[in-house]
Amino acid sequence: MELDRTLLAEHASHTLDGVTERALTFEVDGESCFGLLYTPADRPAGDLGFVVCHSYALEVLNLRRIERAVARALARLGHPVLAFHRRGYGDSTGLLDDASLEWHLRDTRVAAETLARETGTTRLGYVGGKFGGLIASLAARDGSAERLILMNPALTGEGYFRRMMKEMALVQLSIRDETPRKTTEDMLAELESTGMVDVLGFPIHRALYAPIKDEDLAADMGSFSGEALLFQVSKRSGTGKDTQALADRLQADGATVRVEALREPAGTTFGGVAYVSTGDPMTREDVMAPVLEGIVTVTEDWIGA
Amino acid sequence: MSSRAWQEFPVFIPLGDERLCAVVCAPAEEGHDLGVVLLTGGNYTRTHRNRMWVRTARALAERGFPSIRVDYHGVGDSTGHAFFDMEVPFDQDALAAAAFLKRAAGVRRLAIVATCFGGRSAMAAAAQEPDCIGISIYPVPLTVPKNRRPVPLRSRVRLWLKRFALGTRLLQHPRIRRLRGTVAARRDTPEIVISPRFKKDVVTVLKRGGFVTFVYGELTEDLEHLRQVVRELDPHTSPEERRRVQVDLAPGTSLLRFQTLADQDVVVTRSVAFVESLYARQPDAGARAAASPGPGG
Repeated sequence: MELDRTLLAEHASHTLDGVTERALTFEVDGESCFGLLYTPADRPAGDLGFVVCHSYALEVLNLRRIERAVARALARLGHPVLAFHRRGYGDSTGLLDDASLEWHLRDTRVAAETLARETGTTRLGYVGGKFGGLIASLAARDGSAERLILMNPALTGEGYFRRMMKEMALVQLSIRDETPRKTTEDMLAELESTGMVDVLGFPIHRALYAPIKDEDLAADMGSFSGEALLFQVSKRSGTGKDTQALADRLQADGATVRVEALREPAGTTFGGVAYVSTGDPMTREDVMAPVLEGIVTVTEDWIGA
Repeated sequence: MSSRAWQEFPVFIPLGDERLCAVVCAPAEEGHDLGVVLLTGGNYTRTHRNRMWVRTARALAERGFPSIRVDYHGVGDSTGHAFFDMEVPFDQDALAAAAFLKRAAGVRRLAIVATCFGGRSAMAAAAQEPDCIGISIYPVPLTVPKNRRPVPLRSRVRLWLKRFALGTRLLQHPRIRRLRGTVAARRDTPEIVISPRFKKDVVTVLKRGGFVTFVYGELTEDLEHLRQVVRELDPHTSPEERRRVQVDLAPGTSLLRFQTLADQDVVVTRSVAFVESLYARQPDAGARAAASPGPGG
């Protein structure tokens, strides 16, 4: 067995429709973070770059398609983008056992430094959906970012993880095996007593839950006073109270906010499985495609303006 | 310098006009002449649920086996658009990943490990890839309706209603749910059969000398269909060929969507054990690997 390093290096990037995608890794405290760098292929890169912050659990996988589309749209318009896996997630190394909130924010800051070093950007924006929106916003609190693109961001750490636990309680109703049934309160108690709880095959660790549960974006956006694009993807019409609360907070802090409401498709939720059966039980199609297109179109318009 | 026993290389593999995003994970030192293709179900990206395939790939590399984990076209970081039909496996994606792994890692033999829809794609690819010596699949949809019919009107109405919050609430109303349940109970259940394509692919793999392992949970709902698949192999295969089929049951679980950390441990452990035992069966396997029992042993 002998590795063909030339072949591997030749295939570490590709260019499609005016955007070059290149895989890279960067080190944080001895661990390796996986990243994909999106740069314009046929125009010079601008000085404003974006870092994509992924969500948690299954949403890391389910939202990837939308994150990728936003990254490509931004890069096509001249803005380099780095999408990366924090330590303990995806293709990166490390374990989440001791991953505190500070650990998540440190990885995000190192990603921003990596983006600047690789592409020469001097101005920064963050992109994130759900839990990734919370991480992006918390990272932006220090005033380092001047743009935010948030998609159904979790406003509080406690609310986010409680919803995850509630979903588990619902899913358990349909499982026939011997897994013990637990309520949200059972799971919170287990988290407190053992330091970890298994929620649908994803661990929630006390090291993260304890420091993040009291974070509330509607109460505190720190020093962020730049431009924010806030997407609300839901089955309801009109602006929801969470979206409005965050928009109000951002505006009160001096930020410029654009709120866009998009209709959530039937059969799934934003961050849920995108490929669902639309009648024929033998087939699955991407019902989230119209949402993805809507997010891309609005983002292009917003960044162009 | 890294002291890890493995090294990883993210790549974009050509598949026609598309590019499949994949990660090759290789031993840091000398490895064995057996590479592993890791395939997910349609909804998952290459890392699989809670990084199951990342853990598996690194554990394999620590034991000397290179692997590749890949996003199907239209999924994760790959280009293109995906449309999943259980009877139209993504075998070309699997074959492209397999061919790339052979070139990149310099291996001549392959194993495929897959879950759910990936099991269909894996079996179809294994049937076409002469260098594939074994395949291990976790619960996979095995049946198809005997006669596929157009989507009924009731399903289209239900989907239309679910586009609206009010419609969704209406469908969830207990009285409506009871009514729908009563009507559904009166309806004839469509006749189903084991997927002819899947069965044919299993037979092809066995005829070529390959090993096939199904890892299911004791409580997997579809277990009876798996037993039916094994029974239906009888007229098409010899006793020697059938001996290379193993059904490995994990106790006390359904392995449903790998929704517990314990289920994920089952997958990682059994996938590594499968590859090690498959390699041990090879005439040129090293002394360490040869000490392990073979599949079915």
